[in-house]
Amino acid sequence: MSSSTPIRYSKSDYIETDTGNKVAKSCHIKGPSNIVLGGKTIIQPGVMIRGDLRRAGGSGPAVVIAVGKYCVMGENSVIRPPCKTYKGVFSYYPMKIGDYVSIGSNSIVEAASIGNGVEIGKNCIIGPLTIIKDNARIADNSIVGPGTIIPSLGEWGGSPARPTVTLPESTPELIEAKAKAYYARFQPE
Amino acid sequence: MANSTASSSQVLVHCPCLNALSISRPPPSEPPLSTYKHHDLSSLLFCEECDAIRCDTCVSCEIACFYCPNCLFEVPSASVRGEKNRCARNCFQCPQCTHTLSVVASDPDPSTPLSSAAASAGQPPYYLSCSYCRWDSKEVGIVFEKPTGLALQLQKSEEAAPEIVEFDHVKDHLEPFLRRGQAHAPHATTSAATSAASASLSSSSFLKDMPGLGQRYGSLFGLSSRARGGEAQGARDELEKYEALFPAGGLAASAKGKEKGKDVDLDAEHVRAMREMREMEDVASLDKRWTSSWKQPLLANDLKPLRTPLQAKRSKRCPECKHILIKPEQKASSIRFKIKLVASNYLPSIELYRRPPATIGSRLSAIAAGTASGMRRTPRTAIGRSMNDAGGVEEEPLRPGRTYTFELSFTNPLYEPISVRTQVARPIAQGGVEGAPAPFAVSSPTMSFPISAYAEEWEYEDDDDGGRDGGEDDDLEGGDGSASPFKKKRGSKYGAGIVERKMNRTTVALEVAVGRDTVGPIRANMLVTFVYQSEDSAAPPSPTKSPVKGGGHKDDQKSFSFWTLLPLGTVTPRAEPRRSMAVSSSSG
Ligand SMILES: [Zn+2]
Ligand SMILES: [Zn+2]
Ligand SMILES: [Zn+2]
Ligand SMILES: [Zn+2]
Repeated sequence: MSSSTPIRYSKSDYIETDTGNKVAKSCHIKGPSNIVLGGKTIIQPGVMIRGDLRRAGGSGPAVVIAVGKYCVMGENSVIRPPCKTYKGVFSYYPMKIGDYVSIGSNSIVEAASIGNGVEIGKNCIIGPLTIIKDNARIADNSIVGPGTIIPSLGEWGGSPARPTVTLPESTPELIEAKAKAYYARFQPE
Repeated sequence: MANSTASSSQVLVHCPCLNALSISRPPPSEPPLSTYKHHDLSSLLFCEECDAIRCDTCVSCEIACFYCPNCLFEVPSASVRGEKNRCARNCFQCPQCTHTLSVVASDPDPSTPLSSAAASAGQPPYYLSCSYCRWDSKEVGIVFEKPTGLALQLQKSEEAAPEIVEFDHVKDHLEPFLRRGQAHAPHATTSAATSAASASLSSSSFLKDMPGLGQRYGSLFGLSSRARGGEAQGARDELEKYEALFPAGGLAASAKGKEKGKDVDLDAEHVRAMREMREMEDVASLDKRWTSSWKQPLLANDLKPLRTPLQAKRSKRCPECKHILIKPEQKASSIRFKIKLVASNYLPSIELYRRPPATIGSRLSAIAAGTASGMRRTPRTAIGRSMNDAGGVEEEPLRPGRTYTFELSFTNPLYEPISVRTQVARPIAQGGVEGAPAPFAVSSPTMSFPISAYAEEWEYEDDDDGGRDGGEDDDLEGGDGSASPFKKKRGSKYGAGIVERKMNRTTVALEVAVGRDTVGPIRANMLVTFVYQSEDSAAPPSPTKSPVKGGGHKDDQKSFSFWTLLPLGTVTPRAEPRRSMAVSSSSG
């Protein structure tokens, strides 16, 4: 199929929010009041998002996972806030995901922050407290060790992931266009 | 996303790399030659001044800034050399797996309650630990009293290491010689490059220096310098004999000997270690020995933590006119550029998509036709329908003797409409055999077709199937949700061969008849020429350029041509065991 051909999904399988987020009904979303979706984000079947793992000692609503717009979370991926023990206190830390981010199917993400336009491949493990800067890319089947910092426009791959190439200068525009095109193609039957 | 098996591919764009573009002679289409000259449009640059495509292999690069990929600290270029291209702050790589090491404290007294702050803070001594493979620096005897300024602490021991001392000694020995050589080297052809060369690594000037390299090595190894010229030349060619500080091959031995205060036979020690060895991993792998350390220890447990190597952001210049095409912002984490002339803002992007076989009938007629001359167009009715056909049919390999329909989608990045003409070059016989039949034949019913201008508001339009109820009015980015300016038209209205015109995108059809004896991947060279109005007020493609001579009117037309490579697919004959046996017996 060409890149303008619609990707059809069954309307009964997804919930569409006011801001255009499309969330598969078969997702496991814990602590939904602590999760913010920026709009036009697609969450595919089987995804697990742990908004319930919040900072220690807090009460009332809190933003545990903030996701930007035009993101795609692939099937069966797991989005889980990172945790660590600091000065004797075990705590989860909030996770921030930028715009135009795509996370491949079956990947497990425990990053502290993911910049705009980041592409994470399939079957990846993104270790706790990792920081991924804008428009970086993680190749399929990579394991990013805990606390890794991945600079912008870097492509990393392997286990543990290490830098492979620097992505071309036009990557931000390319990723943004791709993300918008994917959302436009993703239509009910 | 059950049915998202997209298999369209991006058409590759040719960079002539300073050679003149030949309209009649296509560039090589077969690897390995084709691979170095054809690129994704997204990786190409464009020089407005020369009105030409530029790629990463023909631009000259300069270092814009150095930074540590881990702490993202921008390192001033003055200190990069002194710090040996590595981070001088607190960034270290694990010698076993290259993961970034973290500084950890030793476990506190076991009596400390686990929930107390002291329990998670720990106590000195501090050491480096790998959270990926569990290596820690205590294994190689590196511990710290304080968790800060580690690089400085390590650098001291690093600087005293015999291999570093020896290397610096070699550098000091060669430096005056290299400086003399540089002063005399003929650099007339790269005057612009040399002016910036003091801090830069201009790739072209580096290559020009290469021929002299052998000469320099010759004298470095004490080869006869008299044979290469008279006494006058000798003044700058002569290199004094190098006296090593440490005995050859005995670097590690002498270091180890010093540590222990006695002479140690390193070979004997290695032999002993290898006798006791149980696992392959106890030997340091070649890549670790060669790339990650000055010292090249044989045993894995001798590998030391490494300071994280710096990375650089690069500026890129046009090799012809020396104008800057890429200039990044200095900030390490920024993805912004002060100058960024990328080809995707100037040339239409082209996407190739193979239609699934339309009908049994057309398939049979294609088989019957066989050759290019007998080729027939797929019935029109199939074209409209196949756009909505999903499924992985197109993953099937191409078959010899068949005809396939491809679609080419052109997307115009310019703020003005363009008219495109395509011309597929006659394919060269496989393996370059003279007189052999062409591996495939391409026919395109379209000679020339228009593409509408790019407009920002179209990014959010969604007029794919008129049945939508306009649920997109709450557009975040300010799309006004008004009716599409472009009503989808049906079939023949577009003209022959044009499948669809939608926004700034036009799709045309292409027929490929695969030869009867063709096997393996087939690629077609396609020349793309597009014509646009060159108006003074127009932003891209060339706002800085003065109007064409003798013209200056609004109806000035400008055109640009470039070669592309269409990866059509791989031809695999159907498995027919009996026939292939017959073939092999007759040929052998
Ligand atoms: Zn080039
Ligand atoms: Zn650093
Ligand atoms: Zn390690
Ligand atoms: Zn130029």
